[in-house]
Amino acid sequence: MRDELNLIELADRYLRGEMNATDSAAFEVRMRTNAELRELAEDQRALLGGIKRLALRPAVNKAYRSYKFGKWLPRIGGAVVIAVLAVGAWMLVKESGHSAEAASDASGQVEQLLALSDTTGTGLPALVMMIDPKKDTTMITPNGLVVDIPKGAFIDEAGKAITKPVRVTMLEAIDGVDIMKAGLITMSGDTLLETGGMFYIDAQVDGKRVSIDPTKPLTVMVPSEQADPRMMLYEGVMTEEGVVDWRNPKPLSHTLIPVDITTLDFYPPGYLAKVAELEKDATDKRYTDSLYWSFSGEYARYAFQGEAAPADSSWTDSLTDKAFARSADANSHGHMKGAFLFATNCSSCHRPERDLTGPALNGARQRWEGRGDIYAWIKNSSAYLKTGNHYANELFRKWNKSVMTPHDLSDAEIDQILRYVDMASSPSSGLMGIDPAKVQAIWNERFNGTNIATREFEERMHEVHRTCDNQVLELYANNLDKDLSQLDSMVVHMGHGAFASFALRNDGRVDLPAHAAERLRNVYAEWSQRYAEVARRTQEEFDQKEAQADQQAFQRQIDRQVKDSQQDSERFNKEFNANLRSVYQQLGYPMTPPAPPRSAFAVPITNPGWWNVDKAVLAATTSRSSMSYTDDRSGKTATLTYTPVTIEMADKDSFSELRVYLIPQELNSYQRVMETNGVFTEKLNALFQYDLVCMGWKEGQLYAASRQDISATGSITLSMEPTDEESLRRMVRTPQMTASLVSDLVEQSRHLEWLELEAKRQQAKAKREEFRSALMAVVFPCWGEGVPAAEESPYPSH
Amino acid sequence: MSDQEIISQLRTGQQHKALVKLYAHLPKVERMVRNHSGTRADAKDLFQDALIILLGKAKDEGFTLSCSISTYLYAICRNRWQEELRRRGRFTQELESLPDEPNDLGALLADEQQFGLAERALQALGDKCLELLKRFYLLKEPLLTIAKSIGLAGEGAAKTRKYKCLEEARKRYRSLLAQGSVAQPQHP
Repeated sequence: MRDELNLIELADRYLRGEMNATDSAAFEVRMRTNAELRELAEDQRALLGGIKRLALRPAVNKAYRSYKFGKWLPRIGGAVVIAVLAVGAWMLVKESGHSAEAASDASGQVEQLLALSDTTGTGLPALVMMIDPKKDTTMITPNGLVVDIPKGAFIDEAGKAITKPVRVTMLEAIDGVDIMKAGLITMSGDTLLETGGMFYIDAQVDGKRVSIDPTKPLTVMVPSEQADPRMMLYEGVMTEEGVVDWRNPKPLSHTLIPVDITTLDFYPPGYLAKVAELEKDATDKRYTDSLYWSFSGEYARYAFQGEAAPADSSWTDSLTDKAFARSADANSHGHMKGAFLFATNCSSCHRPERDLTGPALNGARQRWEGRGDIYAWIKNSSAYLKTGNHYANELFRKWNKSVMTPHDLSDAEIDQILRYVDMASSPSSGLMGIDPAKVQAIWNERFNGTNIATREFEERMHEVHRTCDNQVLELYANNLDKDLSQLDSMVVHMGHGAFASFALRNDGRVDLPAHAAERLRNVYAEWSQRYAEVARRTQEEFDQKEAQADQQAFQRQIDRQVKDSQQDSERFNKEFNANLRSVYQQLGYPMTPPAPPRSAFAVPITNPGWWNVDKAVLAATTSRSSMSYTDDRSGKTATLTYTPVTIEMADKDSFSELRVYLIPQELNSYQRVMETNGVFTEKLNALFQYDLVCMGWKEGQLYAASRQDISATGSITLSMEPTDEESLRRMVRTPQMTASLVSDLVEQSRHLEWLELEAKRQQAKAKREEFRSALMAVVFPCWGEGVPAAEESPYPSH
Repeated sequence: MSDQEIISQLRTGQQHKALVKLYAHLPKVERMVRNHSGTRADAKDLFQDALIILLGKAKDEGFTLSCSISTYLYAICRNRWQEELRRRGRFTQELESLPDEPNDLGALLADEQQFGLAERALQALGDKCLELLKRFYLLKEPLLTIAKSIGLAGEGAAKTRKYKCLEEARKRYRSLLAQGSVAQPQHP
């Protein structure tokens, strides 16, 4: 990276001619030999060219607009001039009959206006259209003004609807320059107005102006980039000086324009960016949708309050208190930590408020009060069961004797979890974000043509996510027949100040047919519940399956360990006996075979006279070290010899599981060689001949290698080859070994296979959890640290 | 306005009037494009690109025209449209050329095609990046001044940011090159 930057800098200086001749020549030589550098310099040159073009483009675009206006030189009769000043996002101008009256006053003056235009050499482009007044007509002007003319809008002097073709003339001046050029100034009395554009409209039949039926107003929509709530509609009146003065300001009503709902973005802020950052395809909406919906399962997991959608209209009062109470809860840090610990340790088997594989956890602390040690129980339930605690055993029986896996948690962490589960199931908590199921319920075609399917609501939706308050979403979804701005104010009263700026915009609503709002309210309630239920069930099924797999894995590990330790203690006893026999022999005493010991650490010593010897042999066998013992009475010396051996494996790290076993030929037994610091080392007993067997798994394939008679050769290097179970069976077989022990050793290889699969399962699980937890804070802005910071990056987020 | 007057106006800051004037040549290009499977919008993009090329060239002190501006603009558009048609894989006859077209446009257009892609790559950057790059490369402001006016900690930060922006732009440029696209940039 650093290097790259240095190179860019060099290329930069070279291209800008900042290098002296020597450096420049040197750079050229480097470029000739270094294709990468050449490419870099070439790209850099292109980028400089690109920057220059970027800087020139605005002038060219601007000239285009002027050219466009200049092209439509007006040839107009004259009528009304209307200006819209400081225009909002999309606004509606209802132009009714009285404007036509103003038209008659102004007719002569518009001629004057045109004369004025002609003297400047430019004029406004006139759009002239013949329309059939018996039909509805919609015109779109080059600047994007939309004029809607209902049928029968034009009337003659007698007030009768006109049927002959009507000549409609439109002028528009949206750009400041054009406004100036057309001689239109933006003064209202002595006040200078900020204009969002002006337009002029006129209708004639056979050269005679016609009026507009006041009951059938034309509708003009003026496109605009930003919303400004202060914009008004002014009527233009020509003054005696030949200047247009703008009078009679009227506030404009804003109608929301529904768009295709599937083109809107209702995701939590930053969601798509995060998905892309996690190297998933953020452009595939089907994928990002289903991923997002699936988080409703997480929502069900952590936010379990019985938060039913308020069915009646009395929600406003209760809402406010609840919303405040919740934000107080969520701010406590311990709560979040507890939630996190709960999520990672307990949630596969437990829910705070209801039974799953294990019991509901809320109130667990009280239930344990005076009955036992809940900390010890959580940390290692199997061990705690063995203490014979009555309550623990009762629980164990009650829950089908399923073992709770041990948890590596501190007392303080357990406290946090227990506090969390108690709080989580109380009705006033669970504030983490918006339930994706609720978003899913509104983000679909059913809501096309409503307030929800508007750019205005899309903006609000981003803020709704930031409030983390599902009630805010409910409010918008359940009141589709109200103006957005009215709902905005309610949200502000619920304690979400950020909505004040929305409330100020006076955004209206999309008009709905009768009862549509009510119908959609039901649709929303029903579907948000249905989606949440599906997500919750999927999540739970998945969790239960995982929990089952975890438990089985745990059980399997335990079984294997028990077997291994049995086998090892048998092997130890055999070796101990062999050692003892050898020492007796060396000292010349008759062997009194001790009763077969029951375990390594409880060797029965029958003869007090031989206590020392036995102890020394036991010590030597346990620590696997050589010993030398001289008997006081006979003066004879007995020795046991252990010699270290090191086993090295070619390509060791490529195996996901790897085991090395020593098989003493004289015993019906085997011994696992442990790995310390990356090497397999063990000490060989000089009394035995050893065979060596290694087995490993890699990508579902068994590998093995063996070596006979490896007695004390110091260091051994093996290379494992792919093999099958039958060959392995032949490898490990020695004359002394019983068939069952051979099978047991072969069984070890199956265990390795299982371990490999289990490791993969765990990896996949960890990866999935990592992925999902990375998204948690984005999907649920109040989960963890809260709302992601506003974009700081210089790069656009796509 | 004579061609020479237009060129000298383009050279100064008051190019607006000249540019508006030059749009008079758009209809001819429009006809050519629309007669050969293009749209009015294609023609506009093409023509605006040609204007940018001319504008860029005019700023060059040593630039002289070997033909009329009208022919020059038309020739650029014709060449590039031919190229675009080839790219779209249409079988097409040679687009009719004007008699006095300059024949040395090849290298210029090859360059400009790259610059055009680079422009698209740059357009995708954040505003801050663009601001920084423009100020540095075009207005030749010192890094320290730039840092202050766009709210960066200091010269070092501005420098790092500049390279990061270039790096990002280069990445995008590379991928555009790889697409082999000569499509017109999206105009704001």
